[in-house]
Amino acid sequence: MATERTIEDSSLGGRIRRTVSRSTVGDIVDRVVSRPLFWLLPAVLFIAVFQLYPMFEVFRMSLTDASQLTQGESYVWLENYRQLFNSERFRSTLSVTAIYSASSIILQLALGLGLAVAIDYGVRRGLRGPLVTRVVVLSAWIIPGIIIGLVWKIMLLETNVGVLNNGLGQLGLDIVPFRSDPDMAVISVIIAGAWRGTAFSMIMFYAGLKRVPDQLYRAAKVDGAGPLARFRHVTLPQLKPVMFVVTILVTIYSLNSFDLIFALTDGGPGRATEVIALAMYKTGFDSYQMGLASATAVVLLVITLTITAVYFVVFDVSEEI
Amino acid sequence: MAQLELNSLEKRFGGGDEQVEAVSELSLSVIDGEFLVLVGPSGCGKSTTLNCVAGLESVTDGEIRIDGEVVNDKRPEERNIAMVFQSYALYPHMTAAQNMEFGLKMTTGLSKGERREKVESTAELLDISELLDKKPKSLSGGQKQRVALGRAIVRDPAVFLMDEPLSNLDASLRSTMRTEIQQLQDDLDVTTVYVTHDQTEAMTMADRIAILYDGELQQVGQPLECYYRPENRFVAEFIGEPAMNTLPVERRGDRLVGSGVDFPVPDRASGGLSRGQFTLGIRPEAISLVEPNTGAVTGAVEVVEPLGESSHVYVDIGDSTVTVKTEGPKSVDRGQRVGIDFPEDRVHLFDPDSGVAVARRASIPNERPSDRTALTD
Amino acid sequence: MAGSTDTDTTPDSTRSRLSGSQIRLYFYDAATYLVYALAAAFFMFPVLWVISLSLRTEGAVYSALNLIPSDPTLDAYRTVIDSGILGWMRNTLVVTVVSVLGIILVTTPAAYAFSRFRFRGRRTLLLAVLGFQMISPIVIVLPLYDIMRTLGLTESHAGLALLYIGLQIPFSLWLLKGYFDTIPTALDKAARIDGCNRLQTLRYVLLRPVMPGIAVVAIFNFVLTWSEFVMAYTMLGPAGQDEYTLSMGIYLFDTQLATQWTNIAAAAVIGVVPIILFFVALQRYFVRGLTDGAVKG
Ligand SMILES: Nc1ncnc2c1ncn2[C@@H]1O[C@H](COP(=O)(O)OP(=O)(O)O)[C@@H](O)[C@H]1O
Ligand SMILES: [Mg+2]
Repeated sequence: MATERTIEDSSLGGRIRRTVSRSTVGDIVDRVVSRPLFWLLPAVLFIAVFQLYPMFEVFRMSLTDASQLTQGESYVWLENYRQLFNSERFRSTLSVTAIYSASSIILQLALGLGLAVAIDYGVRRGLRGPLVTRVVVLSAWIIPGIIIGLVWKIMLLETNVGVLNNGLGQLGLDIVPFRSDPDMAVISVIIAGAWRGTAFSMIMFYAGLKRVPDQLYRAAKVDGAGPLARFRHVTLPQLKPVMFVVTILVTIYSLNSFDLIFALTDGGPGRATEVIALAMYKTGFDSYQMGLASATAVVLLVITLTITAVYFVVFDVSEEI
Repeated sequence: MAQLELNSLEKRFGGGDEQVEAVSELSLSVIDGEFLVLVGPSGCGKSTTLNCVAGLESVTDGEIRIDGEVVNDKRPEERNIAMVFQSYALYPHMTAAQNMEFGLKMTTGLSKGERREKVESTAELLDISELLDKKPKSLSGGQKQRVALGRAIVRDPAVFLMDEPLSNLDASLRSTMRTEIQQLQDDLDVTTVYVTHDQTEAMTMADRIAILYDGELQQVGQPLECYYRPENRFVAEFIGEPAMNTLPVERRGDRLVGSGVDFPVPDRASGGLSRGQFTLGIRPEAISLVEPNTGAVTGAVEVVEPLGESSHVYVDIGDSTVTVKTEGPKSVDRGQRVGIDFPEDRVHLFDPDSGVAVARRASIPNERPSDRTALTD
Repeated sequence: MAGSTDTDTTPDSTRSRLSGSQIRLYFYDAATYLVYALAAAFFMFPVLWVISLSLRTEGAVYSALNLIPSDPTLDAYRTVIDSGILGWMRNTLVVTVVSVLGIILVTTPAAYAFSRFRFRGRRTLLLAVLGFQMISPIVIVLPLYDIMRTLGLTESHAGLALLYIGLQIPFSLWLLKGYFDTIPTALDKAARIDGCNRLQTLRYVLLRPVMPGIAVVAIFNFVLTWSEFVMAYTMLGPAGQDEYTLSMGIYLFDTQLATQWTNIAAAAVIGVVPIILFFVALQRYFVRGLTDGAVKG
């Protein structure tokens, strides 16, 4: 294709030179960019520094008497764990976490599924309202947890400022100690948590429901299945994979809850709402017992992983992965 | 314009236990301006071969020469090739013109104007000038394929590589595009390697076809050569539609005997046939139906598929079913007993183990295969 | 009762059954609307009420039930803005934008590699990434604080942004890899034939098709980072108040202003409204990030 061109010679030479240098430099670039490490390196570094190493550190620190107050640290091995399991505070923390998490999981999954079914039904029937409902519920999820905690704290105030107690007062009822009674405080935290967290399971369930083909429902109808039977025999089995994912994630979120409770009750009254994450944070940053706090973190991690493993068995997902 | 040579090309994927040999010991030479079709069933290594030639895959062993020069270690853009893909692979965010221009932009020092000029003249050649400003999303399958062709042609390469470029089109469009690509290639006179799994496409388009099976080259030759003189049983069965019938037979004296089959050993083959077991091959279009108990075999008609001008008749001869292609809409009925006869000169014999042809036609007749059936009746 | 037996021989009973199912449908529709109304009320009320509270005079806070304040005032907002909430918002915006850009910059090439390369250890690495996605950052906040202090990254917005990048990579990487997987590799091949090396392939050919995925990752991380509290509180805590992020500042307000409810409410509204608007405008992408990320994960 060496057609004569009216362009000056230098430009042609330039072109050739460019082609030549392109190919040698190109070869080097080629070689570098055809190694996956070139592409992965930044991500790997970030993960190593901010995830892998801290993970290793938290295990290591849990075996030491590290403290924010003193410089050095020495290995005390399982002493922190022994101390932890012998402490009244930790046991109460564990039970608060268990109650909070179990209730949250059940409540959020049930509410989320109910809302998702309502939204899916509305979309399939062409009703008005599903989108608005979805956006409203999801808004609750994206509000910073710390602000949610504050908002609920004000709503639950035990004076006339608190809108709930104000309302109850108008009905002639007594003040309800939403935040000052240990049991009520736990319930308050669970409800505020559900206010925030339901959106997540709702949207996940909704995504799962959307994937159920209309044909299946029609086929079930032809087979004479009523709405409840269709839900039981068509919808639920189709939702199983989503159910699995949602359950795991909601469990992880609940077990690791921090900011909302931090703002709403700060673990109080007393330690009535002190979940593990909160206890760990306070042990570490308020009491400066980094070793003990790390042991708490490890226990939290182990609990999370164990429960996840249990889900894997219970849901029997082996054929789906 | 260039000659393309593959010398003992080998390509293995993976390592250790999971190693897959996709192409083995492939030697092939495509002469300047030739249209070579690489054909074989899916998974036989056609795309891998093409990718090796293109420089998209590294070669495990052997060499690839373009115009005499070994290109094994060259990057694709240095090989002077262009490629067309089955799925078009048009860049979705670029217009047709930008798609065609992109390669020029990346590989040449041409100015914007020069590039535009080339794109426009290529578009004219392909009759897609009015599509140049459209994005792939708003093009039909046929239009996309033309743009993809344009993207290859505008590069003015020495070798065209096409990987099943028509497979995504519907049947009628496919046959139009078939002729069009042939004509284009004829006009441009660019060496072309065209991959397909469709033997009809191979037969109708190719100057020569290379049949690949399981990574190994089975036969290279002109389409009719491969049809009439297949070198082995695989080629015989792969080329031709409906597929060649094969029947196990045994030599007894000067006759070939199988289940229900009794046929004289063809003259041209008698010398080489010393062993006892063979596979007899006979094309459906070579068979004629005769009165029961005359001819080579007798059986009952199982199914008749009328195709208009001709019909496919499936005849049960005991252990196996023989396909017969007959003229006319409906010459026989289901369940009818018929005799089957075939001309001695159209019988193929294969070694039952290796599949190698031990007796095949001596030469290609003058007629095209489709005319041939007309004459047998 | 007799009319609703399940015999379907006479046309009469067919009609009555039809209208029966019609009635049932109306009933379900009504129940669904009721669910929508209850959900909207439950999930909107706290926000509306806090907005209402923020517009009240100090005296009006005790008539909590009047959603529309009788004597609305912006005093609370003035107080809150004077206390520097806009600075916190700017800090949050800077940290969020830098984090999101960083996440995309780091994640895109890695997602490309996981989607396009087949290398030894790929599966293991992918599973490790998935594993980290499952672990809550709160578990490692203690060592993170030490690391950040050692690296001199505490009390710094840049440091906090780096931390967010590090924490958000697994999720974003997983999500983005899924998007890359949906782009046919034939495009890569075509680009290679057209003379692109892998960098150019990513830049000129794949980036545009994968843009919707990048947008999802960006929007999702924007919301997460904007709302983040624990890490900010831990890493920026020792710094001066001017350096705080919005969540931190608002929390600090609560502890300092004790019972100035209108001011706290105003601060909460300022913290909530921008992110809600952002979300409502882009919720489609956000929802996709949420569902795709978890389902692919
Ligand atoms: N990247 C790869 N890694 C491993 N095996 C591959 C790869 N590409 C192709 N193969 C294998 O090589 C063989 C030939 O594939 P291919 O060339 O695509 O066949 P064809 O194009 O003829 O259908 C197949 O068995 C396929 O599974
Ligand atoms: Mg192929």
